[in-house]
Amino acid sequence: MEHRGRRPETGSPVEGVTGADPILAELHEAAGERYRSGQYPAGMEADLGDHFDAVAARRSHRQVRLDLLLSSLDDASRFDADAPCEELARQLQAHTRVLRELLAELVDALGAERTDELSARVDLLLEQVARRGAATTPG
Amino acid sequence: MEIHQVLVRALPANAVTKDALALRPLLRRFGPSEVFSFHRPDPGVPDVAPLAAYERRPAHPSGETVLLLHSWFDHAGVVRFLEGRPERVLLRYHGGARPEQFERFDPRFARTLRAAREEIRGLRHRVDGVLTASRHNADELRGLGFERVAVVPPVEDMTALTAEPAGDGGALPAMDGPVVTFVGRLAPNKAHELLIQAFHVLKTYLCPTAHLVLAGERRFHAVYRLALERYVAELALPDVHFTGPLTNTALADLYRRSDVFLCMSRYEGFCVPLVEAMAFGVPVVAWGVTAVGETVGDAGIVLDEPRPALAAEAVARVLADGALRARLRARAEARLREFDAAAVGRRMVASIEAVLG
Repeated sequence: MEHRGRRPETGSPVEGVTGADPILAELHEAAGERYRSGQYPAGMEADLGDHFDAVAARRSHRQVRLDLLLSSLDDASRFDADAPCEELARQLQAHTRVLRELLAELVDALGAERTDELSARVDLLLEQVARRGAATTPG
Repeated sequence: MEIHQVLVRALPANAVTKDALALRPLLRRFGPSEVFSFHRPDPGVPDVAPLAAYERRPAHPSGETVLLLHSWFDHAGVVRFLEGRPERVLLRYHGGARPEQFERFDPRFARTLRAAREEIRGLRHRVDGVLTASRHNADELRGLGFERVAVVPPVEDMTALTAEPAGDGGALPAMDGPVVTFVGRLAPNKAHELLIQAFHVLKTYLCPTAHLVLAGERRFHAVYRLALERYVAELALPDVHFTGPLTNTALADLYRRSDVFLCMSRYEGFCVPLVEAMAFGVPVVAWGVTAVGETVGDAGIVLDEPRPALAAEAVARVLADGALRARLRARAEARLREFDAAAVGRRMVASIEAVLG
């Protein structure tokens, strides 16, 4: 098995390239040979892609809430310039309320993000130490 | 005739703003020409006035005025400004990233991009002509119903960047191996994760001393940025450097230090950094989608698939093969002549005359 295919990423066809560059065939062949010889683990590229998808999918509850608040702020920012003063004041109050909520969430998120990142780094370090320990343990 | 340019935003180190500033001296051949910005211009951008100042400009005796609108991610305010105005309008279209590429990281921005596309489509009966930076963009606009579309690349004077004096190197990390570089803001359409994957293959199996420098604005699309940072950490991949935006001096330093420019973008409307890399003699390896293949031409290795193993193989080949590097540099020199600022400027003037009839 050379490279296990993921969902095709095409976007649009390759444009502006006149005739296949002969070096491309050599590069495809060389990459294929590295799979065949076992230098590259089977499915390496698919695994890399899946790994990124998994990382990207780890959106916290907080991030979803921030998105919702931003969306609410967009809605609250549509002031009706022709409305009477009382209505404009009400719209402004609603806008300020959403903005305050968003700022409060953001302040919390900033603190939490640091904790998340710190914890991920500690996990990573422990993993590396464990791997290194296993590699240097005799027998 | 006077031709004034309208930007949605004027920002430093921004390709659209740089294009407008480079166009201004050319447009002054027709008559008075200034650059206006709908949003308050960034203080770092000289000589750009707020759009509110447009009405206060001195009247020109010919009475014939053209507004050249630069596309952006949202045009609602500018479209409102144009409503009912008598001026003829030209559109400088810089391309638009695909909303679906942003959906999972920044759904708000994806919505903005969808709206921007509709705003652009809505302008098709209002504009007298369109100037795009690439054939890819021109085809896209023709598909939206635009007529009188001319292709003129950005008027970039590369000699200004290549003449930048060497900096103190403080903006760049210390790097003692081959340097693979990409320049572009952290955004899903630039596919930084594919760059990281290609670098992972390169570093793990082919060139353990390599470094990857990802230079560019990182303030936007925070969820994508965090995902990239976590991904690099989880891969335990050393020597990946996110520099943020660079000054021209630091950017020139980076290109001088780079061994390969790698681009895996899913969408580019032109991609000026490809040309910058060529100007510094840095060999280019790029996935040839959207306008990328058109910009690179035969002056780089244009990949037909976004496979990390293929990209890593191409980078390793460039690093190892001096004759290939020399061949790519020679082709890049020829390609650069097609982007020569004076020649492109003449094309721009001729195209404006043609689309305005």
